[in-house]
Amino acid sequence: MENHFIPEGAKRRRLQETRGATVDAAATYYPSTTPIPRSGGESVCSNDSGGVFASQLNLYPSPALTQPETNPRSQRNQPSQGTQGLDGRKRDMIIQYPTSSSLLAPNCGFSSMMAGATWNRVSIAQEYSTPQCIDCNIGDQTGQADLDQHSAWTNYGQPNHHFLVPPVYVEAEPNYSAFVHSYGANPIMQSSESIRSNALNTEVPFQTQIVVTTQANQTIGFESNISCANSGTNGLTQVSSGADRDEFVCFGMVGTFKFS
Amino acid sequence: MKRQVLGISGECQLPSRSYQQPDSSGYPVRLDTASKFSFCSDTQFTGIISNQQHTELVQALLDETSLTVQVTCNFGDENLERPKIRRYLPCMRLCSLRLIIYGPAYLCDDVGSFFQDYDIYLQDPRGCEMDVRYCNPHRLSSIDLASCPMTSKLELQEVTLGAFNLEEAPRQLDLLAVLDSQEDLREAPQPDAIHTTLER
Repeated sequence: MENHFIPEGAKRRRLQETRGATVDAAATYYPSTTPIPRSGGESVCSNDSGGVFASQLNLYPSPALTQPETNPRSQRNQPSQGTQGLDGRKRDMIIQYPTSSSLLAPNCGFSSMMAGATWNRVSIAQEYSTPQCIDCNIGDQTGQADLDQHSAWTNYGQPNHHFLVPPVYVEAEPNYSAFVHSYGANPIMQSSESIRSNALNTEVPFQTQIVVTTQANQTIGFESNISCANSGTNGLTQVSSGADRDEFVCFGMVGTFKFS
Repeated sequence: MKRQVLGISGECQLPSRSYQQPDSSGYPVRLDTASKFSFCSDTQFTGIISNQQHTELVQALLDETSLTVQVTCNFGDENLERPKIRRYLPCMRLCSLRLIIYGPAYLCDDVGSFFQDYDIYLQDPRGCEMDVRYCNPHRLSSIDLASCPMTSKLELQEVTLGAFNLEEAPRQLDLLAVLDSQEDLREAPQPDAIHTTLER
């Protein structure tokens, strides 16, 4: 999925606007002195006042799922952001977030599940309330699907705001799909982005990015719809029958043709 | 024109005297080199692969250590009537080697491309010694490895597999030749909605 970010100059302007803006008490800017948990390779951007943003990506709207120019409401609510372009450096930052591949849960069906064990945490922009950090991995190492407390967060500040969920790693698995959806009181806009399925062979694992649009006071949650099965190995995703690419197979019989 | 699916062509040297002649059933053989083979049960039976291209193919298979090749030798149904004097001499008899290829699943695409370069397409195996999944790179049904049948079930599931009997398939020189017709099309009748008489 192509991601769109605004240029650096517009980003700085946006930061300044945000600092100067009056926001709800709950929409507190976190002048964080507490380091955000992260692991190696994660980029952290600090501003002059000491605020730490593990990800400033989520501060900025993305046109990927909405079209502000055709949506009057969105146009009205969105801060002026300047042009929306692709910022390669930003994209590089995104790719740095995941450090270990997430592990698909062995569960089946439509249960809402999130488990936070292996994913790097990414702070939500200051206008978002707790949880400041979210985890984006699906499944956990024990093979159980647990509801994760960080799987949902609420936008208490900016109306109709966009943010970018960090890349989601999924193990290659046929018939797999996952999506992000928003829920809460009167969600005006619901965005979802399906994660590719049938990603066999070539992309193991692969990552995708999801852009979510939120309204003020709207809670966003992760939900995964996993229709595969873990046949028993903890922490590993297996296809339902246990077949894998190292399995010894028969390719067939050599046949030549004779015309008579 | 009849099309037959054969294996690798070879010649088998039969021992002399009144040695029992092999029938048309398959005999397990082992590849000594890329061009020579011998029977597993009786070393007096030896044979060679006569076709140079096939020799190269077998050599490539032998070079790939992660592959296992099961070879059976099949003779035709022809009944050799040899003169009495020759019954006590060795003779050469044409045969066909059937090679069943086994290997790790991750080689599936490579194996398929390899044989395709030789214009050889892997057929459904018969008489597999190993009970493993059947994952033919030239079959669309092999995309999902988990759904591939076991070789032990192959002959039972022949209908399920949707076996394509190549020998019975009509052979047409060029399917597109049908479209390249010089025959003029018949003029269509005038549509009812047009009352004006159209000039012919």
